[in-house]
Amino acid sequence: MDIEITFQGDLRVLKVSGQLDALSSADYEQRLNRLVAEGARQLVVDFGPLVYISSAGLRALLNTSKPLLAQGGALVYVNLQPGVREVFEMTGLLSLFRVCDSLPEAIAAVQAG
Amino acid sequence: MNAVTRRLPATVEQLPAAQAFLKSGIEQAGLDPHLGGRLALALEEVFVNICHYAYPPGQPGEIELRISPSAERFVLDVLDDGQPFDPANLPEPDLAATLEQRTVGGLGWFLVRQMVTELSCRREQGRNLVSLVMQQPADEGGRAS
Repeated sequence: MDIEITFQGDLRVLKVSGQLDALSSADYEQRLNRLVAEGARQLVVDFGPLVYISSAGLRALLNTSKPLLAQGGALVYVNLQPGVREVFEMTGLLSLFRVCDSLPEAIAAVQAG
Repeated sequence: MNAVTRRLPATVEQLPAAQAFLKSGIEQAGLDPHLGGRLALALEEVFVNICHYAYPPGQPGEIELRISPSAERFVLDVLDDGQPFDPANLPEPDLAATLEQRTVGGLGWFLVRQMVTELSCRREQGRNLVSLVMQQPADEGGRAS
């Protein structure tokens, strides 16, 4: 799993590639929580190159989304591949999180708050 | 095709080795890659659960993987020598909970049940046996769900 971060003003776009599984989810959680601790409040998480997510990965998403949203932040997931989307759907996360189909749409959604 | 087996230490670090073993079995059996992906997810959930809960802390045991493919059914058995376990006793996750209420646990076994055609858990000769069964589609148009 790799995360590539780009800045667009106050907004950060995180491109996550590879697998979010039992081995990589702690790393994901640490890096996101660190961004939030450093003051990031607007995040777009681009899952375009993410090919796999397990319950450990979903746990990392829940553990990182809750603190950010509780602090008034905004977070949108975008570009879910079919397998990842299926897992989101089955576990109810598709309606729990904000999920967009394109990067411009996701950026606009986060900027709107 | 004959069954193939692999024994691995029951540690999360062995997950890539377990996935590689499954992947080669899937390729040899010619299982649909979409179904193979679902099986890989089910395997991670079962494997990691054994690593975390089957053996006492500091006394890691082993996990045995057994693949028995046939024309209609691809069967992945996961065996351990740890304490008896029955996922039927686990509570269902509350999928309708809000983000604030949502707890972080309980999703693993739920996903396993969703991913495979058949799931069976039993005790066999003093070992836990979890069978993950994927039905191969009968024709091009069909797909197991």
